[in-house]
Amino acid sequence: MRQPWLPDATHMRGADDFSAKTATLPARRAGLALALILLLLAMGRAPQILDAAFGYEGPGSDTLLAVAEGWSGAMEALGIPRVLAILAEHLRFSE
Amino acid sequence: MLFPTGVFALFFALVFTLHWGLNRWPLADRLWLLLASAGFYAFWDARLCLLLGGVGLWAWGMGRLLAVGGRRWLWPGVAGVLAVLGLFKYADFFLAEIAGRFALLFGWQPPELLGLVLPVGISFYCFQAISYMVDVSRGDLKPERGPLNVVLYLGFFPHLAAGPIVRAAHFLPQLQARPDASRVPFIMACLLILGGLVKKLWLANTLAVELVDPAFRDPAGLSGARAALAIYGYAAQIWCDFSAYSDMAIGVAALLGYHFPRNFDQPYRAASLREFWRRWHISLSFWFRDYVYKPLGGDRGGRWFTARNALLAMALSGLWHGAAWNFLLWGVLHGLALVLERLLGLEGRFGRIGGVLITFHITCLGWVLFRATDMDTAGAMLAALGQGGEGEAVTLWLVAITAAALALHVTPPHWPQRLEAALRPLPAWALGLGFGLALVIVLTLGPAGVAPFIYFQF
Repeated sequence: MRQPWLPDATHMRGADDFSAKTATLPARRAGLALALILLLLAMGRAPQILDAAFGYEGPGSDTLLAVAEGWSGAMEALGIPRVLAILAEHLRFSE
Repeated sequence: MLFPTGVFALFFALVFTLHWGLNRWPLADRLWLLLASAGFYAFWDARLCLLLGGVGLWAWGMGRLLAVGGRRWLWPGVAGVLAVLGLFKYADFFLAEIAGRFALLFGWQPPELLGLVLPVGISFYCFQAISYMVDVSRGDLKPERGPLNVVLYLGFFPHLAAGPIVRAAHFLPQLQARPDASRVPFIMACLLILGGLVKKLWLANTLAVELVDPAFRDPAGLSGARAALAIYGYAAQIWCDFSAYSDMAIGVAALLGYHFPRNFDQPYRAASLREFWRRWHISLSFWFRDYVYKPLGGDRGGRWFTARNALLAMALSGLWHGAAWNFLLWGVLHGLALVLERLLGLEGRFGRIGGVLITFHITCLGWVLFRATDMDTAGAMLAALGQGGEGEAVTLWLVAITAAALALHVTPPHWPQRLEAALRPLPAWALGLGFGLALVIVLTLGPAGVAPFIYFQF
């Protein structure tokens, strides 16, 4: 095996990000964590998703736009875009 | 399709789910990965998939011939791949710069340029195709019976657009075995992706927009200090940009159960040029060492023989980056510096700190050639260094952002591993929430929009 995180991995020369000590998760649990990441991304990027939906002109664009508007409205009701906008206003990486 | 975009996040979620879902059926899984990679590549231009598939089939076919006919098939195989690379990447350069100038000299009509579009990632997958054929010819790798694994090796989407150039002998055995669904290195993969996003969005993009691009657009209006800061800024930008892509590619591949070796190792800590090339774009340095420098004879001859090989390998490395004189000169500069360092025995002579400072400034000089669109701009940028205090001033913000990017080189080399160890006890849902929140904050605080990665042009 060439993957250093697997138990029977062959030793690699040189520095690497992974080793036999690297923590691993079963794929199902990694999938759960990834799904949560995507959910949070969708929550935090709702305005950008709405912008992208407005720009999309392919098949199903009306449905997509309706879903994006509904999602964006729900996130606004929760106050998430406002919190992130305040954060960006004070800490954004630019001069 | 760029990594730090919503489209890629959706694409990857689908790939991840089906890839691990098909884990019991390895053939279906690899076909799915190939289809996904083709879809990823088709986002640029669907026709490019045909070229990639053609190079893959060629490499596979030559691998079969190498198995039955011996090493005499190696050179035709390598020549075929180089012909494709030459046609798409170098034909117009040679037509314009060599044949064109020759024609002008004799008063002939200059040849017409082909005007071919440079396919994204062509330099990377062509070098991997050569790696496959050479590894097979050396006996480091058994030739693949079918073309699927070879085409997937070249086109695997995490490293398709800008590397790392993974050696065939390292990657193909991973494709031959079924990925272990009980062991996904999730935490380290997410740390690499998150760190890559910070380097790309916060540092590289900010440096490009606010310091480097304006400076190289009009070097004549710069003060000496601003020109120097722009050069340091570009050194920081190109490292942040390219190492960010590499880290994200390594992280994305790891989430799918595949390993790419590290591609950058805090390169500006190097105290000699030789050390720099063991820390910078490691996969390309090792490719040139193993497939160009050593076959040329390496250091098995005298001092001048070794110097010639090093110079030739570095000049070719420069030309690999782009069909332009500035890239060739950049390679020659590094080659000459390496040769002088070796011939004069300079490595280690100035102490660790002195060596780091000298090496860093030689690489900065090289970056001026690398970044400038033409030789006039490079000359103007270097001339601006002597312009004193007149022109655009240096701001504290620009100094701070450049210093912050370079300061990442003095962080302890194993801090990601320490962070990973601290996160290890957390359950999967907590990891998901933590990384999700961190990603939202990184994207929110970064500049709007994502500029393409610098190495996509190569």
